[in-house]
Amino acid sequence: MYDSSQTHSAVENILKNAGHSSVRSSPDALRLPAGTKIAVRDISKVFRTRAGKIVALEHMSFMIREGEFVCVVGPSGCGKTTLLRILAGLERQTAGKVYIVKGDNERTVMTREGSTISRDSRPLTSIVFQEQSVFPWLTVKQNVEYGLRMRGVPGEERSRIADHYIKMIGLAEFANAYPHQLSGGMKQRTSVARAFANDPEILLLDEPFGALDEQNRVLLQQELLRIWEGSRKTAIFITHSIDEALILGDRVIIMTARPGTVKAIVDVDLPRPRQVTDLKSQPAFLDLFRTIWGQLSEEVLKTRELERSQKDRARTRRSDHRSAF
Amino acid sequence: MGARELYDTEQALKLPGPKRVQRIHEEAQMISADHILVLDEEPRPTVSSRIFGANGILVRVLYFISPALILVVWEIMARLGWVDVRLFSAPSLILKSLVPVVVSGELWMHTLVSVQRIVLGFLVGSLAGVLLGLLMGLLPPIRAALGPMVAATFPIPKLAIMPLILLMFGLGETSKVVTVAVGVFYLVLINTMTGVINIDRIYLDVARSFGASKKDFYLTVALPGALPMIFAGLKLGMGTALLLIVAAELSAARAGIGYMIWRAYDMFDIERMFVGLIDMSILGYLLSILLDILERIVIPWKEH
Repeated sequence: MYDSSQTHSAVENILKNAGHSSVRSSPDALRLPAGTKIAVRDISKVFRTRAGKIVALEHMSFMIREGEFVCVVGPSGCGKTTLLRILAGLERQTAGKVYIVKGDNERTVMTREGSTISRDSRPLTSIVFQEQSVFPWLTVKQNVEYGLRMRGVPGEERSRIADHYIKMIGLAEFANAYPHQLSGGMKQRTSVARAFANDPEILLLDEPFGALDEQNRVLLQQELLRIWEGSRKTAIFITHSIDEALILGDRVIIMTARPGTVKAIVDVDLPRPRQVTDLKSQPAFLDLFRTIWGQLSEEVLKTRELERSQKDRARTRRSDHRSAF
Repeated sequence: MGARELYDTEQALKLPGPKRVQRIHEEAQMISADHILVLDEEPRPTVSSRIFGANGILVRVLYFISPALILVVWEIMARLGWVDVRLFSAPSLILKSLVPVVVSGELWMHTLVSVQRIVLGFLVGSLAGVLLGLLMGLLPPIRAALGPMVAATFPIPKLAIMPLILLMFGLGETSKVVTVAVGVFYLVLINTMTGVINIDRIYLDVARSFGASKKDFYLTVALPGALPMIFAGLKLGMGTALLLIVAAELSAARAGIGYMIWRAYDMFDIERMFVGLIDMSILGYLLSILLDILERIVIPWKEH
């Protein structure tokens, strides 16, 4: 399904391009290194606004291996979220290609008539959003079940899977509570469980702990590490915290100031399983921190420069207006 | 805090509680009172603040006795002849007039007739309003096609359409129900549409990324997301329904609270008019409670 018309409203578009259904399968086989899960090739994203064009991403390329946990850090406004939304199929790049290697979803399913091989409906990606994104009108359990329900997983299995993840995030007592009864941290845990329960091939996390306080953040990082180390799913984690990137990631992609592209990629060779508290005092951790900060600080300064020039330009525009009257 | 001191504090923290307290005492020194700003504890509530304060006894008592107080003042003024009882009546006279209409069942009959019209009109109007509101909120072509019409006809006072409704639907029950329905319809329609349009975009993204179909999206995001606004519309609509029923029962009605009030006006029966007003007030209150209960059942996830 490929829909190119741009005349629909937001809601219409969202429904027309639901999930990855708008992604064209590549016409011919591709040569990719063994173990590749995602190959981002020279993608750019331009937003056209009333104020003019904004280049969010420019000629960005990188590869992600199967089962790898990759963190993306960059100055604010560098297009991190845009990148993730493109990978999630919520947005489409203006130029370039993204290749996602689909897993072999054939598996043996026990049915009443005996066992059969079937392709299950395992989704390609699930996303944990930055802001509060659990549905206020669904209970914790219904929220965690949401992806499974949309895929038509039968109620009993859905309930079993949801219970498993709710227990894992420590919200068993709150399974039937509505989000307004939960703290911010509990809501975000629900959001993480919702993504995990959906059992995607790739987990996309957009600064999921950004809005949390330090104590809750450490606890959730620990929980995420524990859950992830049990499943070893390919994961892409956007963050502005170098600490967080080093605690969680196998590799850290450092992005430039806008227009965003890859500035450097750092291997995080810290052993797993990791303990958040132990990690931060290790010399290797501190070295890596310094390396990444060195790269990142330049970009942060550039972002500041960019913001200042934008402000100046806006001011000039305003004064032009005034003189015209 | 210097490095040395920090180290000391850390050491101290490792010690059991009392030792740490002791350490602080050891380091205490004399500071002249001129260099100290003291932040005092809050004052204990005084007797006068307990009576006259914002949450004092007086406020709470007034809240409950003020209606009675006004009735008493009214009665006294009527007895003393300060107000003309022929025009302004008196609580005792109204009560005297209330008892027979209640006992004879006349008031019940009028109330039931009005309630029937209100409920029927409310159901028709709100159902149509919710359905069309959802459609207009979800489908831009429908919004574009009907939006201008709605915007142009909404400001027309519904009372101004009444003569037209009477001609179109006759003098019977239908015209009253339609009048109420039209008033309710607009408020519910506009609220529902706004509710759908203003659903936080993030929920659309969530539905989309979890592969919700169009039908799933309507049922799991659009409808529940718009429910709070729909109920706001229903509550506004109920107020309008009460307003319109009285007007609708002015002409060509044989029963109903509105009819009773207008009939009393013709007979110059002030007390009976007040009986009608009291009845309307109680009815309106009960209907709003009913809607609140319904809201709690339908939107259990909302903070109340």
